[in-house]
Amino acid sequence: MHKGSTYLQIRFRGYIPGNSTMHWIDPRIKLLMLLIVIIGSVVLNSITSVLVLLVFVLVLIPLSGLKLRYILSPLLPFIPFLLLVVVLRLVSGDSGDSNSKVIVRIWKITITESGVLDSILLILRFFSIYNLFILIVSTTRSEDFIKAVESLMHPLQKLKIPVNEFIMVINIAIRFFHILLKEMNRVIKAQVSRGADFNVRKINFFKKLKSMMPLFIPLFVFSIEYTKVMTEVLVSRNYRGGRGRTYYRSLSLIKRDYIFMFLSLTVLGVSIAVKNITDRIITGAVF
Amino acid sequence: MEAKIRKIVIAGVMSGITIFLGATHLGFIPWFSGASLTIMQVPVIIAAVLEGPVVGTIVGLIFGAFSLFQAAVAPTGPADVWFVNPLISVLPRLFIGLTSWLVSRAINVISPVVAYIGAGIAGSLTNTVLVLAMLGLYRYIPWNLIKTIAIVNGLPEAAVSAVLTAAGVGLYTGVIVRARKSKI
Repeated sequence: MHKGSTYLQIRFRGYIPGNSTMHWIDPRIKLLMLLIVIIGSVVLNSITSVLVLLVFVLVLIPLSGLKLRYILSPLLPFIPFLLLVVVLRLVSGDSGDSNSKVIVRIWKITITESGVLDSILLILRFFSIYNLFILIVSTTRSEDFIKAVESLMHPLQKLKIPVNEFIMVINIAIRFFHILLKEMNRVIKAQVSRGADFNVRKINFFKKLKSMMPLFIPLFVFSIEYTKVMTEVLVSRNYRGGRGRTYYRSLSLIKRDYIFMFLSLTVLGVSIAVKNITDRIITGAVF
Repeated sequence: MEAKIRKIVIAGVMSGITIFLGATHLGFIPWFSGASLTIMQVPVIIAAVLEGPVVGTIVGLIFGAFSLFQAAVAPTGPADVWFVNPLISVLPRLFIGLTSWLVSRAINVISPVVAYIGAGIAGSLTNTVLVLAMLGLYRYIPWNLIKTIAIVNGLPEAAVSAVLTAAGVGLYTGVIVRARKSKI
């Protein structure tokens, strides 16, 4: 919490208006890219595959019109944490994989080949997903993104999964988040003017918790009232899921979108193909 | 239809609170073990207790997806490197709603307030145990350290979330109405 006119601040970056290629790609294709990179880097679990995905993401950066400094600057204070994570992984012992080659053995700590591979994989996976998320978040409006989720989930409706209701939940959540942010800033100012102290630095856990209560109770009360009003609004307008719903702007794919779709599917294919080009070549080169 | 709409609205509002707690860092209480206590699972538990396991699972899904998003877009600590993996950030959170609903239904015959407290503890412990188990399975943290974290962080987290769940659900259902009189 910060002192100043507004107490609550959002700590992440949002949409930046622009006119680049990445801005104009259909949000469904961007969602497809995101799914390919996240699922590919988690499921394939191989350094070479994740490297292919990372290269793909890095190629997209110049197309977004964002400066590389803008993308990488939040990571600078984060580097010590990365090192900590790697060290934790290296010392955590490989009881599950006893036949991997031991590289260094100091006192009780042994560093094995699989430990090194895993920590390289961890960092590569983090970088590829981080870069793509930043790219997509700063070039896509959230409403376009939700529309893309709805459009991709649409076939599930045939399996009787209530897709439209789920999208409604996400829409209410995002709308309510912004309302709540405004409302809670007012509550904090009101409570501070009545003598509440939200900047308690005490270790005493119960005091800390007690000092948060004047914030949480209004939060719950406000959300109860909002729930009642919102339910009444939806009932009075005869909300009945997404049946027969139309949109002011609907998504449509053009040639450029198909090119990018083909490109991302190719990248997925390549990364699956190189999975078996074994990771040992890389460790062999390093050690 | 009105019951269904109420479910949709509660799921949306609770997901909104989860996003709010995460995005403003209000949901992280600093704790002297270094890692902060999180209370972001509380809205998931409240949704599950109020409207059943399906709504709880949906709110849990949005909680997990948001923590993946936040770990990737605005990383702040070592845990965020691990949390860009959906198997660690999304999968464990799907079960919070189920366990807290089960516990609250089981205890509800004795006393509703006790049931809310039990649901708070159960949901929070599900979150802690499953996330740490996934981190252990990936061998990112040694198992000995995991046991320590589970006790040092998990127990106070469960206590806080029990208090907040009882307060939240109590306010919703009208069980807890009277508070202490103001000193002023």
